[in-house]
Amino acid sequence: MSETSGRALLRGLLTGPLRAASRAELLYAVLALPLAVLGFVWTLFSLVGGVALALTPFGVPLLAGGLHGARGLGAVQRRLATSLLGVAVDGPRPFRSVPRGVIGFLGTTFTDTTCWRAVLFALLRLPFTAAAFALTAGIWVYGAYLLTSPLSWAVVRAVQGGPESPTARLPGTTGTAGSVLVVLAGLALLVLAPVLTHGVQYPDRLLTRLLLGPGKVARRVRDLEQSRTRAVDDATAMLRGIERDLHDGAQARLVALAMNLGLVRVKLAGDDPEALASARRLVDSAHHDAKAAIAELRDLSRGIYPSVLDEGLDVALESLTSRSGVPATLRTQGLPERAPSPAIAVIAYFCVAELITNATRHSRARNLAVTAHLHPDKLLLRVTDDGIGGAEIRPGHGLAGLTDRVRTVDGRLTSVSPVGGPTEVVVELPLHA
Amino acid sequence: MRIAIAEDAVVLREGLAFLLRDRGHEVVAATADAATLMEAVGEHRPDLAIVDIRMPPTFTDEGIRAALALRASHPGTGVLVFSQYVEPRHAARLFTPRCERIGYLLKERVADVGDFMAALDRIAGGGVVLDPEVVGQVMAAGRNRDPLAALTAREREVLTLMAQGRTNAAIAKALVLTNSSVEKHVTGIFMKLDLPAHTDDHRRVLAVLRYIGWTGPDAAI
Repeated sequence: MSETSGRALLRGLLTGPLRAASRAELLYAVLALPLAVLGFVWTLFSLVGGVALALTPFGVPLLAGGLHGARGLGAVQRRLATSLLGVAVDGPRPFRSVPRGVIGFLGTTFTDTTCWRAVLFALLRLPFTAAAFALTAGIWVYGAYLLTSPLSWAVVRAVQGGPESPTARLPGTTGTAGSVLVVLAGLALLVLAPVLTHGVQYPDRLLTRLLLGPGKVARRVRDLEQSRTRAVDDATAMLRGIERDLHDGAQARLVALAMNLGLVRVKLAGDDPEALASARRLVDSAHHDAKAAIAELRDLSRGIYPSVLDEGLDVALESLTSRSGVPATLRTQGLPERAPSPAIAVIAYFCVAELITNATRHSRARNLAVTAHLHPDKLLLRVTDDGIGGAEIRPGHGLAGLTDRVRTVDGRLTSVSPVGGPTEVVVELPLHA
Repeated sequence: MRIAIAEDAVVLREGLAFLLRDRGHEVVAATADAATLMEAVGEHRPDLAIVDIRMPPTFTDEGIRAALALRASHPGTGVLVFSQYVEPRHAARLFTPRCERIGYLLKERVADVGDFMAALDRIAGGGVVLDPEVVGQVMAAGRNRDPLAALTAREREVLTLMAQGRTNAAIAKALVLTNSSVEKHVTGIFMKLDLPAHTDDHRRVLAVLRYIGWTGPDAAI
């Protein structure tokens, strides 16, 4: 361990008791105990009571109440753990009775895994939370007691008389040296208290994460929902972009073209030589507008679906690298013998296109290398440049947009781009969307 | 006639200015956004302002709002709202029972130069011009509006054709009726839709507005 990190550790230890995180954990220890007791008593009472009264009209409502109570207390605990212990746990989906009505409500309640996991949590946590509370309270209180004992003893002695030093009661320590020793022991306890508090709260953190966080299926559902949202947003943004491009580009040009031709028709109606000359100029202008509209439509349609993809991903990537502003090489493996699904090929194509554009615009690279490896279960794309690096995945930035698009199909985008370069972006895609 | 233009696409703005000048009009201002247009109108007091709907900064309905503002501040200046799409909702905001000097046309109408120039003259002269496409859209939606419930099946047919901009003679031909019975139906429509006696042109547009479902400036927005 170097000298500086040793000093940092020492400073960390000494300022530990004063840190906000330590205070939060101490507060948690105090708040968690009543919550744990309440949760345990409530859950046990309602479950046992509900089962015992199962044959009476009270049984089922009591059980349902117990389950919802446990769920609610679980939510409180989750919030407590998130804000005080820094345990990042996502909440479950809101409870929604399907179908509506009493029967639906009860059915949903008794099959709700969130409820049952909360019950398990309430029953399991009490011993751990109680033990953690006892230890935490013991350490802090005893530490504070030892630290201040000479002072408090002096007060006690002044009021009612007694032994000369607090250490008189402790075997083997007497006199001033004893007092100093006791104070140091108190200080040591207080310095260690945050670390110990954090340690004894480990079971609480673990149980909260395991039982009050979303389960495996719930997490998957959440991931899928998020990727669906991203896919829908992505599609909407794309459609809006296409509309805007059409509106401002080709459509405006075609209106101008029609306008010019309309005017030409008027001019050609007579045989005034000046009007004919003007008509000729208008035809030139209309011709120019028509060609520009065609070019804009071509770019736009390529942006919607690159038809070159129909010849295979390898050919499409070849066409991309050959058009790249920075000299680019392409190596493929596994293509075109096998091919990813068309949807994946489109995403792969646009990723490489965007990455090449990014590198051309921002990296000041002199060479680009693109590789596409088709593995049995995935497609790996790699775009490397020898530019200045420093590319980041920032919201609203090109790379973030790509990351989102790749994640819609459970793919992954990772970028390594230290300042000074080189930049390497790896896109991993499944073979089917 | 003296005309101000607000259109953010350069190719259209310049093309339109060229066309208008070529046809003997004076283009007093060609601007790219509504705010600049408002200033220009205040300064030059043109006879007509041609306003694109989608302009900076939000590219939504700047043109409509500019048109309504001009309506209030410079009632003597005619306004042609000009767009690549037509929205019956926009029409309902622009047109009121007493409106005049206002038009709402698809941009592509400039291709027929003669008709377009005639439309500009009509607006500047105090008239109202509504793109047939607006009417077509409303008809296609086939909405059943309350004021229309009073119309007979035949009157509704006549209104449909009227909204497409056909004259009484053309309507008579299409429905195989005599001119006088078409006139009778048209009068019936005006009466049932409670349209004020005004110029004939005006009432025809207003009948269509009723069809769109125009109930008042607040309800329409």
